[in-house]
Amino acid sequence: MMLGLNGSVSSRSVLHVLLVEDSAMLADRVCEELRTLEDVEVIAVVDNQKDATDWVRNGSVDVIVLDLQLRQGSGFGVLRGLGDCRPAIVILTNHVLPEYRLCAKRLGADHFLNKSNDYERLADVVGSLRDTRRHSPA
Amino acid sequence: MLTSGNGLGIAVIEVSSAILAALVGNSSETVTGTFQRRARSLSSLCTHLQQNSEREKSLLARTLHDELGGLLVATKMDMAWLRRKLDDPDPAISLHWDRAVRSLEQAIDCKRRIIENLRPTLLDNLGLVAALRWLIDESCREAGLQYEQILPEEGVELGNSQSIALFRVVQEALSNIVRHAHASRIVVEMINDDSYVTLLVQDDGVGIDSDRLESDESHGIAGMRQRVLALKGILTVGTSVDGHGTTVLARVPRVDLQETS
Repeated sequence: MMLGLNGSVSSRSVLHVLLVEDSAMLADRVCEELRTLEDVEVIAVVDNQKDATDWVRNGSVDVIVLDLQLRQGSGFGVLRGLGDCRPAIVILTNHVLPEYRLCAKRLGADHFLNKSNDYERLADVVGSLRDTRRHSPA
Repeated sequence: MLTSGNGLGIAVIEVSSAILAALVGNSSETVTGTFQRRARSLSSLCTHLQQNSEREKSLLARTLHDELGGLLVATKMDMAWLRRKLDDPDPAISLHWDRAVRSLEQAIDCKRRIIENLRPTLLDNLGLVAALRWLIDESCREAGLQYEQILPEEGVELGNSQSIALFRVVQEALSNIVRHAHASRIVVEMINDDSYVTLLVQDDGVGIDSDRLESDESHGIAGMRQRVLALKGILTVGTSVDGHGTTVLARVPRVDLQETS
């Protein structure tokens, strides 16, 4: 048994990632990148705010990789709708104005990555979240 | 002295009606009514065209983001993957590779700027106040203007058409200041009360003469006025109260804003 990132008790050793991305083409590439990581599993890919919120509330999500512009709703809507469910949040977006970064941080995002320039850092960020989880006290 | 510009228009209609009535033999009231109906019809057409233009810009921005943006970013991601697979490439290959990546980044940045110009993403994602802060920062920095923003800390709940209309009014006012005013400092203020949202843009420039205010060529001012009229508000443009510079004031009823949200 080990503590999940959101403080809930978990018996899993694999980090569960929810990918929220409205472009199927980009979702494929992000999944491909995350699959290179050991003990990291993308448990679902959704493209809208409601499905994202439902997954976090009902599933065992450790990390959300979250786009801000979605098919319906927005990434900010997802952040506002999380309530007490607080997985680690990695924003991956093309909206790179400082205003977005500030707002995301205010709403609880842990990381903010520019989709086109910081994409190569995504695996490192998710990998470090997995390592932090591994070393959390049982 | 501020003017809404409506008084002169009505006077012109009345004088023209009297002349035309004398010429065609109809009563002055009948001709005035015809003019007024035509004026309302043209006003309605202007509003329709402005709203249609905003819808088309919004659709184009969305398409650029979803389709062109997706393709460019996907290519950048694939190039990052390929670069990791290239062990110690020939310097000439590295040179060309890096150049291609820079070009791709410039294309992504260009696409982003086009989208923000078509439809400011902040407006849809963070609301009018955040979008105005960004617009004022950007415009004044580029033009080397000092500025003061007196905007609410909290966002103001407005509907899409209201938000974009008020954003465009401030955008046009700032554009006029940069092009014509020779100003060194501007103030943008938003006041919210129970009844109205009021936006005020003031500069310390050379001011605006009444000929230009009423000129048929002042499409920018006419466009601002039309946007505000469509929200059942009032727009005034004129010399600031201290006699220097120009003040643009847009005042829009809150009740109507909420009803149409």
